[in-house]
This record gives sequence, C-alpha cells and structure tokens, in this order.
Amino acid sequence: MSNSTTHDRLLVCFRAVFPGVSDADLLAASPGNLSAWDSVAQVTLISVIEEEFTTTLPLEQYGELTSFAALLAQLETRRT
Amino acid sequence: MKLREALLAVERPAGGPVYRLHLCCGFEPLHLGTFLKAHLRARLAPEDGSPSRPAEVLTGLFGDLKGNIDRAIAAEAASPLAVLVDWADIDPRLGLREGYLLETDIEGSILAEALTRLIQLEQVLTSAASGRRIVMALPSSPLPPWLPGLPEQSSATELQLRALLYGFSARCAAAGIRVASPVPGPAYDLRAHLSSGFPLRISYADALAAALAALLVPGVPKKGLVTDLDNTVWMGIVGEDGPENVHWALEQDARVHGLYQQLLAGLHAQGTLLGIASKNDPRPVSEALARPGFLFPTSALFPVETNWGPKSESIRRIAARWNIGLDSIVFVDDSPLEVAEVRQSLPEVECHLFSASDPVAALELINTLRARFARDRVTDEDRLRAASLRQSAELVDAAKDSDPETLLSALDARIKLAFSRNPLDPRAFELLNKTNQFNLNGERWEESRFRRFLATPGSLLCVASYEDRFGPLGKIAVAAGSMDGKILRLTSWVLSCRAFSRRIEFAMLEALFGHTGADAVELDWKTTPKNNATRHALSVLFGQLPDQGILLLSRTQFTERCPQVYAARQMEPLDPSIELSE
Repeated sequence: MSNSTTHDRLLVCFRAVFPGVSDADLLAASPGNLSAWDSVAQVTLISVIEEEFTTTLPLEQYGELTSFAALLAQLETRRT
Repeated sequence: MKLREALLAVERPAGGPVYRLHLCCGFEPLHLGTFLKAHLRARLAPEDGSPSRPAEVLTGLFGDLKGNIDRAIAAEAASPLAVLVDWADIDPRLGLREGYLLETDIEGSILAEALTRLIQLEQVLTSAASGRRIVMALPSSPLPPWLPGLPEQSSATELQLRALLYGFSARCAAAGIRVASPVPGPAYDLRAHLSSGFPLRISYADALAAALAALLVPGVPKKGLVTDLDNTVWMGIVGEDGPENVHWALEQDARVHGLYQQLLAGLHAQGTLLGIASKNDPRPVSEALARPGFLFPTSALFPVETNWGPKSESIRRIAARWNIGLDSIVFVDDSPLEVAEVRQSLPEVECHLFSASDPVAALELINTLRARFARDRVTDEDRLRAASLRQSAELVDAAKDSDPETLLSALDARIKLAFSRNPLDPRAFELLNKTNQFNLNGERWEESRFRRFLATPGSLLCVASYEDRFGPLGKIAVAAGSMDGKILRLTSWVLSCRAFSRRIEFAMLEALFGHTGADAVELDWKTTPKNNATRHALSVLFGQLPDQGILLLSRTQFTERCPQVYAARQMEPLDPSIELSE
C-alpha cells in the first residue's frame, strides 16, 4: 500500500463523513474549525476508517486522532 | 453495504415525501440509523431509476426503551416503529456496559423485573400495533458472564429469561408486529459499546438494518412459478424412464425433488400460481402426475405446457392464461440450456437453475424461491387465486364460442361492495399496491399513509368482492377517494386481473354513484406502461381515450355510456362517518 493510496483512501472516508466539504478543507479540518465534526462524527469517522482499512485504531488515542494528518500518520505507523 | 457506502447513499438526491421511522432502542443507535436510512431508501427507490424518497430515522434517549416507544407513539399517528429490545432493557443488571452490585440470590429479582418490564412493553406495543407498522428485533448482545453454571451450560435462569423473551415476542407477533429473524454472524462489539454506547459490529448493524427495512418496506412478491418436471419436480426423464419410474423419495436418492415438491405445496397454499413448462409428450406427463404420493397437490398445476417448442413460448402462453406480467414470473429448470434460452428470450422472467446433484445448492434455491414469493400473511383471496384463475380461463374459453352479452347474463354473478374503512383491510392494501393492469394511475400506498387516509373523516374506501357460477374470486377491486360536495374524487381505483371481462369496474362506479349521491366522479388518471385495462374502461366511459389528468365523469355521461351490468349488487351500509352534501 503506497503512501498516496493511503492518503486517497483516507480522503474518501472523510468525504463520506463530511459531505459537501471541499478536499482542501477536509485536509485542514479539525473539530475546532469544522462544525460538523462533533463527537458523533468522530465516532463515525473512526468506524469508517477502521472498516475501510480493516484495522482497529487504539481506543485511548481517539481524542488525539482529530485531523487528517493525525489519522494519516496513525495509519502509516500501522502499515510499517 | 459498508458504512462509508451507507453514508454516501443517504446523501444522494431524493424526491417525494419523507419516509419517517421512529427507531426505538435503549442503546446509542449511531450507525444503525445510518444503515436503516440507506436500506430504506434502496427499498423505496422507484423501478424507473428516479431518485428515491428520503428516509428520516428519529431516535430517542439513551437507556429508556419504554419511554422512547411511548414518545414515538405519542408524537405521530401511524408512523412506523422499529423496536430493538436488548437484555439491558429487560433489566439493567443484564447489561454489560453499566456496573451493578450483584447481591447473592439475585436471579429471582432479575426474573421478576424482566417479567414486569416485558409485560409493560407488550401492552404498549400490542396496543399500538393496530394503528401502525411495528417491526422488532430481539437482543443482539450476550447475557452477562456472571450467571451461574458451567460455561457450556444453559442455566435455569438463562433459559427462563429466554422463555420470557420468546413468549413476549410471540404475543407481539400474534398482534401483527413483525419480529425479525435472527441475523446470522457475530453481533456484539464490546469495544464499541464501551467507547460510544453502540453495541453492534458494523457488519451486523448493516445486516440487521437490511432485515428491518425489508420488514418495514417488503418487496412485491412474485406471482407465479413455472417449473420444469424432469430432474426438477422428480428425478428421471419421464419420456424415457416411464411414468412409474420417476422418483422424489429418499429411498431412491431423490429427496431433493421431494423437498422441492414441499416448497411447491407451501407456495400453492399461500396463493402462488404453479405452471409447468416441460419438453415432453403430454401422455407420460399426465400419467406421472396422476400417480399417488406426490408431496404437493398436482391439481394445483395450471397450465401444464407439455410440448417440444421453446420453453419461452410455453411461458408466454402460461403468462397469458394467468393474465399476469412476465416480470411476475419465476422459472426453474435443471437444464442450463433451457434457462439460458428463457433468459435470452424473456429477460423479464427471473430464471433459476435446479441442481439436483448438489443438495446444498438445491436447498439454497428453495430458500431463494421461498423469499421471492414471501408474504407475511395469507388472505382468503390468496387461497382462491389459483382456482379463480382457472375459472377465468374457462370463462375466456367459453367466451370464444358465445356472444359476450349472453355469456355475462348467464354467469349468475354477484358483486358485494363494502364501504368499511376500519380496521385496515390487508387485502385492500395489497390490491392497491400490486395491481398493475387495471390501475387508475399506478400510485402505490405506503402503509402509514393508508392508515392516515382511513382515519381521515370523509375518506371513502370501497372494496368489491365477486362470485359467479365458476366460483368465488374474493375481494378483487378497490376504490379510494373522498367526497367534495357532490363530487366523488377517486385517487386510486384498482381491479385484479383475475376479475377482468366481467364489467366489475362499471358495477363499482354505478354503486359509487348510487351510494354517495354524487353528481360526478373525478378520476386522477395517469397512464403507466401496464395499465391498458384502465385505458379500455375509460375509453368506453368517455367515448375515446382521454388525456392524462383529472377527468370528470358526470352521472349523465356514465348512465349513457355504461354497458349493461348483469351482476347482482349487494351493498354494505355506507360508512356513517362519510359526510355527504345534500
């Protein structure tokens, strides 16, 4: 799985959870700057990512996985 | 369906009225709501590919199943409910998410609490079931691990809890609530339950939502099964082996054919039409079918097409005799060549290969066929259907050799017209939603809308039943509308194809004029690809085929153009709640 593939697949997950938000905004999004990113959206996003990547993200890090970059880094870490 | 796909599906453009569902559970519904919306939209999607209706899923408060049900019932009349009962709703001490101090000898206390809560749930649900569609699923989570007994053992407490639950769900089912079959596969996700309150695995939530959506918005069942005989209904080739040497019993290693025959028996009992398309000479087939010991009534087979022509042609003739569309027919044959021929010639027909050499595949096919013809209740009309179609065919045959007026006048026909609106007549609802050829505008009725319509003062529902010397046809026509001054506005009007050629549509209009005192009937007329029979009737009444739109048929116009109706008419008293103008 290449880095760009992980990036693109993660972006697909973000698009599904936050419809109507541009890719540029999704790449920079966080709960602080995207009103749709509430606690339900966070759980949904994690569930979508876990299902798409057939992985389990660490429960204790849910609170830190609140940006595209953080999630991408987490997925990359798990890949290596 | 993946969760991502469900999220995208619910965002697609939608059109039409919102389908509003109350999802009542004690846990956090989260993704289940998303999956339900996606599956409901898929089931509500029109066949023509236009946008599906939007679906809205309303949820309640965490940990308050009974309160959520009460609030949903109070909030909206007739809107459907999906109820998910979990162990923690029966007694919170049976939940895994919250901790409770467990006293010794606590089992009696839990059983008492479970009984109390289930009685409360049963009372509220069964009372509400007559006015709305309710579907229900039983616990997905395991019982807590502290119940006494060996890990491999079902303790008395566990069995008593399950007995309470099954008794409760059986009584709910008897009251008309649709209880979901157990969904296969692992269900519970403790990790998600602890972190978010949502207790289900994603894949299970998808499967459960699909099952609930199917119970809420069932598909239209197929009407007729056309089956091959050799190596399908029986093992062997009757033309070569002889009528006495085809088998369907275990002793001859032919049990899969017996199973198939038992499916045919079940389908016949619920009103499915059974026909034969067999490449054979007629004589050995009729001799074989006359043998005793079949596991279904071979008299149910009509028509039996035995010839050497293409099976697609046999199926065409059978469809004509049944007077149903090819898209309502399923065809089963053991020959891949025959299946391919029918598939190519009649793409509307659903085709299946019967594989006698693979019992597992045969059983899968039997389950698939059961689902294709499934209906949640069997009405008197379902039981009459096969016989009445045969009678209709006899009527058509008789009409070939005689003047139609002479034939109709000699039918000794009787039409009963009932105007009752309460309780909901499942046969009337079924007719409105599955009749194609005589259908005023093709409009389908959602159950909640139908219930609201029936509850509206001034609404009118006329249900016609028919019987003649060939036998009873049961309830075969429905007109729905309302009075507006001296005008009767008909929004829906359908007549079963089994009852064509008897002028029942004209008898209905005559009765509606007579009993409502209307000066005119307004018809919301739209052509559909299938409603040719309505076109014919309207052409008679208006002198030519009218354009689509609202048509006004005056009493004078009707009297002048209505053909002679020979059937005796019997009216049930007009619903007194209908307010007619003077």
